Amino acid sequence: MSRIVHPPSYPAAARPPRGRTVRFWFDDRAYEGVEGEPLAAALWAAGVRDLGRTEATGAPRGLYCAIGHCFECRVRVGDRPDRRACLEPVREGLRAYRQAPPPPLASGDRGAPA
Amino acid sequence: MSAGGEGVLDLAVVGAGPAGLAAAAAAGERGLVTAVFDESPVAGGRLLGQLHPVPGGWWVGRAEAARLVAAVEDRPTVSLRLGAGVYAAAREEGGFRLHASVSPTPVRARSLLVATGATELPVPLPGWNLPGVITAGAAQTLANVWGVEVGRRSFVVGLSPLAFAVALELSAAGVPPAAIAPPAPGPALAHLGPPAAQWREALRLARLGPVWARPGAALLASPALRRALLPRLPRSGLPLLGSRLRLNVAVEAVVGRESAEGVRLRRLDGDGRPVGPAWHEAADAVLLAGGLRPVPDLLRALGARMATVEELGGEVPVVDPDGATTVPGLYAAGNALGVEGAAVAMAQGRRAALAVAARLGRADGRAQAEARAAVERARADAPFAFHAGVAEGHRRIAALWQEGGGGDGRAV
Ligand SMILES: Cc1cc2nc3c(=O)[nH]c(=O)nc-3n(C[C@H](O)[C@H](O)[C@H](O)COP(=O)(O)OP(=O)(O)OC[C@H]3O[C@@H](n4cnc5c(N)ncnc54)[C@H](O)[C@@H]3O)c2cc1C
Ligand code: FES
Repeated sequence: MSRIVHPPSYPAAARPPRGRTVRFWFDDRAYEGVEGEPLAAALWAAGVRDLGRTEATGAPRGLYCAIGHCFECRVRVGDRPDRRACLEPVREGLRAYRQAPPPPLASGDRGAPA
Repeated sequence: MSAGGEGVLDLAVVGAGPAGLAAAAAAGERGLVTAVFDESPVAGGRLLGQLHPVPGGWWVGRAEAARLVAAVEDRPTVSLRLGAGVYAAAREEGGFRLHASVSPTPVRARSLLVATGATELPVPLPGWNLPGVITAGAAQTLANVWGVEVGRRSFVVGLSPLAFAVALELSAAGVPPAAIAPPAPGPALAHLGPPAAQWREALRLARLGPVWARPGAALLASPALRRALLPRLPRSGLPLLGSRLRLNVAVEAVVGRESAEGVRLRRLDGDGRPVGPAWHEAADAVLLAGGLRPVPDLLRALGARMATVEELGGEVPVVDPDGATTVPGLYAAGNALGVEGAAVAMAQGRRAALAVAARLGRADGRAQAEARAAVERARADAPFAFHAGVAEGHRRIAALWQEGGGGDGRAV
């Protein structure tokens, strides 16, 4: 997966500004991203879809809304848990992690069965 | 008193989308001490990803957003606080108290404008929570705002206006989705209506589509012709916006182990009922386009009287002609009042700011009348409507206000 290479007909004013390329880590693997873009965008461009596990079933979860509404993209950034990867800007040396799933919820808290 | 200090703000704005930014610029123009909060580190809201052709070129939301941000930054009494999510708000003597994620102390303001925009309705098919399944709006953000390719073979599920906007945008960027098809009907999808209703919705937009779409829409409007024609269309659909519009197949599920690998499809008959055996097709990204609804949370939490108006997309506050809610000093603008385009949102933002300024003697009736008229003009000039009957929806809100909007906090 990758970055869009826009055709010449694409309006110049709509092209994303070209930021500096930076290196960051996700679960101890190094990736490259564009400074200031959301962590989730950089990871998507790198082909990473799975950003963590749901507390309810342990199934993988990833980007969903990309604008901070759904909280499906929560990751740990440094020592800060539950950061939304779709809002967290990428910067040089950033270290982010998939969150270890917390202990299972009591069965009454799981909502409807899958 | 500076906008960054400990004093009481004249106006706090939640949301730095087109509505909030336009409001802040107008408030600054009138000298109001104002702060705009947005949980995103980037100002512009949903404007940033918008892009559509206009006669002689393109309308580029990113450029509009930059213009609004510059207008805000030009005003010494206005501060823009990004990366600051407002997670709680309460009424207090003489105004409001807000809690924002970056401020250790609450923010106080005499007036509060909620410009929190809209959010997408879910399309909860089996498999919709697999990684690689995102909303159509998420694809718009990835591709248009950040220049990230969504997929090599992406599949749009849903026939909402946003499905077509995103297909057009991805196509302009040279990465069109492979297909656009409705979801198969199911109990969890009742809010989207049956396929026949979704076809009607899509056909409402057909006048913006390619030449074949217009007579095609007229033909499909008749159930008899639909029953005759739809089964004869190729299963692979018709070319649209560099993609394939597939009206006579439906997506039953997203399939994949650790992430989306494909979709399971069924044929639809002329009445929109799934028929025949299912089959699979590969898809490396699935884009769910369920439609939009306003975000009412802060308004409801502060006790504003709310109403559910289908033409506006859902639950909205009962407001006066400026966007003042039933709670004194609490205003709404933009998609929080109903789902519409960004030009309307900007005009609504300015209108609310001038109403606040008027209360402080900083705007006259004439400026306010112009600001109200600008909203109507923007609505009339909109390239398309997200929901049929938006103007009618706003008239219903006006009628509810007339009937006694003063009754603070009552549900209808
Ligand atoms: C996903 C999506 C895609 C859309 N695409 C189109 C399109 O292609 N064409 C079109 O005409 N219209 C589109 N719209 C409609 C869009 O809402 C309007 O065009 C316009 O952007 C509305 O402006 P607004 O200022 O009301 O809201 P928005 O532009 O949504 O801005 C709201 C802002 O509020 C912020 N916010 C929300 N809650 C909080 C909080 N508690 N604390 C701090 N900040 C908060 C958000 O981060 C956001 O920046 C889309 C809407 C959505 C949701
Ligand atoms: S993807 Fe929805 S909050 Fe980040």
